[in-house]
This record gives sequence, structure tokens and C-alpha cells, in this order.
Amino acid sequence: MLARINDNWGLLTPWRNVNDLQKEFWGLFDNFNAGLSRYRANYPKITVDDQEKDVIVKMSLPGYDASKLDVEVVSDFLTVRGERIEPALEKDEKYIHRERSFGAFEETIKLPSKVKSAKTKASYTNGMLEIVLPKEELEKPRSIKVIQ
Amino acid sequence: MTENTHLQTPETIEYIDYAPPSDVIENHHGIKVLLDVPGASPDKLAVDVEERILKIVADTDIIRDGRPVRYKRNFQISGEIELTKITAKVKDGILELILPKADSAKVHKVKIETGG
Repeated sequence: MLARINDNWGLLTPWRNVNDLQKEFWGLFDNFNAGLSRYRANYPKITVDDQEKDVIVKMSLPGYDASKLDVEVVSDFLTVRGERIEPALEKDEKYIHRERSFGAFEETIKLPSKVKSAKTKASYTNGMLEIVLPKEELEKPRSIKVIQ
Repeated sequence: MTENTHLQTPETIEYIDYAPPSDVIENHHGIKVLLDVPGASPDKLAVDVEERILKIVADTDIIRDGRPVRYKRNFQISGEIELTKITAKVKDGILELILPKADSAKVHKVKIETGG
């Protein structure tokens, strides 16, 4: 159950500190196993690009079945779920060297602003999942007339 | 105020080089190498063999700290491999190289096939 997580509640999330989450994203391409809480190697590398009109999230997901990727948006949260199945070896095949990881992942990202979930678009090309989330317009200031 | 113009040639671009995670599988026919190269487009991928070293370079559109990310990795190939018969295929961000067993040690450029 995802209760409202704002920066003050960061420490209550059982799986990671939400404040650290934003910092970790930017370090991911330098280090394959970056971040203590992202130690599980089958978790995808993520970038969150806060642009003027959209938030663009990119996740590296090579060899995934795009039709089975689960992308969910609510308010300012994005959740992506997927699984990469390890291809079975033929009878005469054996691994000499293994680095790639397989398995399921689930990532929930707090976005830099609220987005229009109905207008969100996701595409999968060359093993990269790109999600474009148009930002919600800020509520315009409204003047309230004071009655004497 | 003097104008400072300079052309940026490919040699002056500073890349962030990243070695893609790779699996190496052996079978009766030879060796299969699988590399995770998400974000690399097939036309920007180069696989070359020189002096029995397999060199893979792939440009991506991914930018980190203002610098483009590039996949780069080399593998040493044993004398058993027939270098002229190496094939490469890329699909959904995974590059698959097949290195069949035989002989020969010439410099050879490998043609990339795309799988969609």
C-alpha cells in the first residue's frame, strides 16, 4: 500500500529513503551496482529528466518483453514492473562467464511534480523504456474578495 | 569582445565509457557473447576484430553530466575461432556475437544485422 510519501516521511519507507532515491538516480550510469539500496543487479538504470512541460523517465531494460512491462502513474508517482526471463541453454551449451542478471523488478519513483496520468506515453526502443509524463498545470492564483 | 568559435570534431567529444555486462557461452560450434547495450542504436554500433581482439563500441543518446554515454568493451579471442565467420546481431538492446571455431588471424570488419 503506497501511502502519501512526502519528503518528511522519507525515513518511514521500508525499502529505501525517498530523499536518497532522487540522488541515486544520477549516479547510476557510473557504477553497475551503484547505491546500497539498489544492490540487486537486475534493477534497471533510471534517469529522471525534469523538463519544462514534461518529466521524461528513461529506464534501461534490455531484452524485456515490452507487452509485459507494467507502467502505472498516479499523482506524482510512477511505478514500473517487469521481468526478464533468462533464456535456457541448449544441451551442449555452458556458461564460461556470467555478468548479466535476470529476474523481476519493481520500481516506484517519486516524480519532481504532479503529472497528467491520462496523457502519459511510454515507448520501448533498443532496450530503453522511455516514459513521457506531461506535467500538471499549476493551479493559477485565485483572488478572494474580502467582504466587510 | 572577441568571438571565440571552434568546431567540435568527434575526437574532442568526451564520452563516458561504460563496459556493458556480458555473458559468454560455449557450445560445440564456438562461442556466443551476449552484451546488454540498451539505448545503443544498431547504426551506431561497431564490432571489429584486430590482432585477435574483439572490440565493441556503441554510441548511445544517453547523456550523463553533459557527456554522452558510450558502450565499450574488448575481448581476447582464442586461436580456435574463425575470425572471418564472426557474426553479430542486435535486438532490444542486446548484442549477440557468434564466434565459430576454426583458424585464421586477419583484420576483419564485422557486418551488423539488426533484429528489429
